[in-house]
Amino acid sequence: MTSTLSLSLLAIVSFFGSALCYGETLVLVDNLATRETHSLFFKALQERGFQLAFKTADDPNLTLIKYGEYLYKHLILFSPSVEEFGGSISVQSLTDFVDNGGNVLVATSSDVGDAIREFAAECGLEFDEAGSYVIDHLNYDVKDEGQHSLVVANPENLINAPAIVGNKQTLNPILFEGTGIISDQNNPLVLDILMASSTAYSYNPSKKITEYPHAVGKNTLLISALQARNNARVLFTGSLSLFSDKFFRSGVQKVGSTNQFEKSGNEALATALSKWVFKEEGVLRVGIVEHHIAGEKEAPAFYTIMDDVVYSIEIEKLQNGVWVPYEADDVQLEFVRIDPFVRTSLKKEGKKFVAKFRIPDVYGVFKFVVDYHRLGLTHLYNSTQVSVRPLQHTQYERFIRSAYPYYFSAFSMMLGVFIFSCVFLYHKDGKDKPE
Amino acid sequence: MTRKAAFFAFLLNCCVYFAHSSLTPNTFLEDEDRLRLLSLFQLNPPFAASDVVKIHYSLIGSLILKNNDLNSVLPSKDKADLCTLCDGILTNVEQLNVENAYFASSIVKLIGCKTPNSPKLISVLNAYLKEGSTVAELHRAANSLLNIGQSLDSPKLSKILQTALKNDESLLSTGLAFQLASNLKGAENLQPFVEKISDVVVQADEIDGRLLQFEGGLGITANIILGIYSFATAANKPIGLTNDQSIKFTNYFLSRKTVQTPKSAAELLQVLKLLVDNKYHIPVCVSRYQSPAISHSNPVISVRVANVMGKSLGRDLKVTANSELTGKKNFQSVQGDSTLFALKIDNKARRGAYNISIDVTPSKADPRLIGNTNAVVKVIMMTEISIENVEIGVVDSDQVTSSKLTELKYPSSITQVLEADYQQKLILKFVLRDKIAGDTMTAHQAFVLFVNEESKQEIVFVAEPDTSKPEIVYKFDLNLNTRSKDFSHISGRYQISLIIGDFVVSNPFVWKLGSVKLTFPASREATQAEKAPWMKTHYSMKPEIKHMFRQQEKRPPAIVSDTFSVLVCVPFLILLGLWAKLGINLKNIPICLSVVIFHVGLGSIFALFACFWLKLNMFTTIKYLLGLGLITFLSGHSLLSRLASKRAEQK
Repeated sequence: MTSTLSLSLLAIVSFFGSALCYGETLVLVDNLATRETHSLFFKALQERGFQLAFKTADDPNLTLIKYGEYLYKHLILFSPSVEEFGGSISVQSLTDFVDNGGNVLVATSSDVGDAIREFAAECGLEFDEAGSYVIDHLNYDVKDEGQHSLVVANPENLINAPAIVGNKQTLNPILFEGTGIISDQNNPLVLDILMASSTAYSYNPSKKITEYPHAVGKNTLLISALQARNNARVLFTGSLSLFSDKFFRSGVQKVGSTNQFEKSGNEALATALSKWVFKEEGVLRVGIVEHHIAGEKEAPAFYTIMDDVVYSIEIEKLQNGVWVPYEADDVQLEFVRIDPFVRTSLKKEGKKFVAKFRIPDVYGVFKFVVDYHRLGLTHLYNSTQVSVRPLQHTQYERFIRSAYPYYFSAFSMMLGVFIFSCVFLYHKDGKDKPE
Repeated sequence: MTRKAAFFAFLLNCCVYFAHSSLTPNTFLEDEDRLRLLSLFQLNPPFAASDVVKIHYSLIGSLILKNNDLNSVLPSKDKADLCTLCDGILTNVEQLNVENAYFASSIVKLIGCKTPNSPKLISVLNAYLKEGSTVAELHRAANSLLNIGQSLDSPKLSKILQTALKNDESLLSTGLAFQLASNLKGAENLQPFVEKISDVVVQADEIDGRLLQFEGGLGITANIILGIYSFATAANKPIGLTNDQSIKFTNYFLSRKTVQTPKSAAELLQVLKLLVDNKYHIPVCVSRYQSPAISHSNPVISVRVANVMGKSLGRDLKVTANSELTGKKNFQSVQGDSTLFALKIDNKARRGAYNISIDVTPSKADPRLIGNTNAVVKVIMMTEISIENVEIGVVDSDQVTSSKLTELKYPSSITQVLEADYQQKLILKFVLRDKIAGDTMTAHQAFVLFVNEESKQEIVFVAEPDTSKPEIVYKFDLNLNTRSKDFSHISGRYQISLIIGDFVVSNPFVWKLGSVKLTFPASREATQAEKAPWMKTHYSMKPEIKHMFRQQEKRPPAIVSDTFSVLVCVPFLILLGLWAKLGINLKNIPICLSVVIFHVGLGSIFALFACFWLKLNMFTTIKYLLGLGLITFLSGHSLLSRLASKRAEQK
């Protein structure tokens, strides 16, 4: 009885939890056959609770927004060759979508249309020209069709962020066939998720190399992403086939290597990537924030310099649709007045992260700031403002040994004045008498 | 001679032309497709009446895949369950609709249950065969009747069907009409539908010149093709589809073998089964077996020749290859696999990509085989490459003649570290030689890779071949002064590697040549990241900051302060001593209240100052001081005036 009750409670909790992240997703494809060739990927998304709406990218009725509200939370662009979107979708509306917190997953092939190219440029990424493939003569799969463009990507070249790519140690090699991306190195928000190996390059396989290839070696990005300042996530890959049933099911064997893998790492990677880009993974939020003087319970109206202060913050992480306490040992607290005066690590105590420190001997308006920015996690920023006052005069030190001469002189003077006043007033000088 | 050349050119043109126009299907239903489709058809008991559609299609599909072996498709228990289920649907005549009747009766027929043929059921089904029913209803009802072993009234049904088709000439109805008409008896009843075939076929849409489909996708296309073939067979008429059209439809069906629903999968399999054996067309599929790369160690081209289901065509075949690589030669059939054919080629063959045109001819001519000529298979003749005459060295930029360069042999590397500054250039020369043909060649990828040994930063340059002479020499020339920007002006030790790779090279390699110490001009522009460090995102922990509290000032030693404490008390003691010597007295003290009040008040003020020093703040002190001061002032005033009047009296 109790178990069923708790089960149903759990179900309710997880239902509300899931309502937090999953949602309506628009899938734009070049033709609806993509729905069949990539069915495993879509099926996995649907099983995780996403409602997918499939449309062709040139559908004249396309729209993202209706009555000022976004119809979709996420967008999948599996329409590499589209030159211009149908309906009211344009590159501008896509960037607006991202600016308003929408997440986008973009996969292209070697045939990249202008629409996708421009959107990528908005995100600080650049696709190679149409017809070019990532070629790697030293790392291609045995099923390659003679262009050496069925590249076997080493999971070692994945970004070091379990929230984005899952556990890369256990991942099998990844099959990739498509075009290469280069990222704008001056864009601080771009993440290089999967790099090609040093021997790869992006070029048209049917042409001789006459000019410097668009992307060479490790600069060639196979998968790249952007986490905007509003935590919206956009993921780009040059290979639509990366998500295809064919690659999910396919084995991997590098030419010239006897190491054979039963199954490619594509499915595991695609699952991890989609979880990240659609905010199922790597999402943090702040719970209760408390601060007080050590030994007290309530936050004071102000702090005095050199008080011992206890600060605590709850941080929660989204896991399988439920918020659970976040575990980490690298969360830091800053005590800031224009510049940070104190930066200290927070220790996990129960559900809270706690820091204890002494307020500096400088007064002014300070902020407790937790600015937690880690690869693959949403940017967590919390600041609480407090004022710090100087010591009141009664709070200074008394009875300083070296000041004793001053004390004694003052008090002896006061005593002297007191006695002198009596003597001065009431002394009767006998010699003054004439008799 | 010229005529011969012209003929050769013509032949070559033909080859090129056919290479682009090859329609022959290059894929078929492979084992993995079968497994995937079978998993779609998985039936899970218990069965519900609402599942009959799915059960119907799953049974059709899995029976085709398992060669009509019912026992391997369904355990006998499930069979009995299904029979009971369908019997229940068919005997419940009041609730029966024509769709359910069709699917249930079809299951009954597929499994071979006892056929329920109550007169009531027959009359209900017959009631649908009237003027005004749609083509779909007619098709369902008539087939249900056939499924339960009844015969059809051909002349009547033919008339009804014609009227129904006139009312609704959609593609789907036409397809169903053909299927239904194929069950009619008597040539005169079939004749009205014969000309409809060509009317329908012209409506097909062509994609890329390779595929033909009807608008509406797989379901409709499959229904029409099934209808046309079964009808033409029943009517014993020519099919009305050209060979090319038939191959294009086949290509379309094979392109859709990734279907996901049992219904589409079953329809696809029905069509493919039809294309394996019928009176008109049997498409031949030719596909390359395994990788397109052919090496000299194993110079064998393997192809698979099969029907659309991936099975042997079941007859003696002569498979002929025709290409620049092979000449005109016959493939040998491979023992143990009747679909596999192999051709050993001359291992002196030159590297490159080749299109091989393949003809399949049966030993006994069969006009039904289509797509059996000019099937094109692409293969790549691989070669091995060797690198020779490798020279590396550093020379001054203004020096024209090539001075001392170090010779290198693959795979050794230079032992000493080269050094180059911005007034010099680094030179690397090498020749790539085809080990088999013996000539020099170019490679698609001939890159020189510099890796900074400290930061692991990679910089890649493309080595360009000099193709003006027959001996192709690669010369890579790095002018440090002009290339400084590529290295971000960062001096230091760099590891040089040479990467050689090509589509026809079976031994691509990365060769570590050695290290070089590069020195660039010190002046350089700051990078964007250095100009604006705040733009960079830091994903790691920042360094801890501990506040430096102000240090307490150093205090003098206790003995000093203690001595002075005593010293400051000395004047007071001296005062007392001198007073004692003088003999002070208080004889002049008047007896009155103000004396007491004044002195208590004055003492309290001093006591208050002590309290202020210990704990009070200024405001409370002033408050108390006002009261005490007033009292002391008033009492002091009265005391002094009394003293003054007393003194005046004495004078």
